[in-house]
Amino acid sequence: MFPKEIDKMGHLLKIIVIVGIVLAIPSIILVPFLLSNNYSIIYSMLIVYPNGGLMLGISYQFYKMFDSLEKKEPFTMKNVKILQTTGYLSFIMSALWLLDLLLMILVIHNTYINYILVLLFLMILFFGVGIALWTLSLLLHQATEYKEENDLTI
Amino acid sequence: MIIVNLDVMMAKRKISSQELAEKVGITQANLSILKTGKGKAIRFSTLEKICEVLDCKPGDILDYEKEK
Repeated sequence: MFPKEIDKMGHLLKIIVIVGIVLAIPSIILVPFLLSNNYSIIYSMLIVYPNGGLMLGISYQFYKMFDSLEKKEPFTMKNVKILQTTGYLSFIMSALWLLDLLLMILVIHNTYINYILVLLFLMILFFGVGIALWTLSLLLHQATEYKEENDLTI
Repeated sequence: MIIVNLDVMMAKRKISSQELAEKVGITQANLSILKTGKGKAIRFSTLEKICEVLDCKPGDILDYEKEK
């Protein structure tokens, strides 16, 4: 990727984080009132909000990663840690969607198939993303070790 | 573990770090990494040049010691 594109991506992620925070605060207060007829969705919000927070956390982690790309130091342990953290956050999100799914089926008895399928899809998606990020962090870890070794070869 | 005795050899030959780095063709920072044992590996070409400049054998610079 060219430096200008990296810069644009960095700005875009910054905007996502800021807009996300700005939208999240009023929606936490407003949405339950707007959806006051549909209790099952309100219960689901208990899961959706923490997941929104986690998603913002992931965006923020990637935003931090763009700093190191701008400095042209991509192979650092800091980036390995960032990928690990985003992987963990993704697994937590997947677990929360599973919790939401169980809540919908077992507690609220909402059998609206589209909603169940969406929750199932989100659960599998974030589990997959978590595995991908975890694998990438291991790859970057090895690459960083090789780079350090190469840098310290005189 | 590998012990680097480069500073001992340099003292014997009465050569400064700057002079050795210049003659070998490496930076002083890299020579410092080598002297302090922070280096992970050394190229044969670098070792050859060091031996040539210091007029010694690789065994005079590098030593092996069992880790306790």
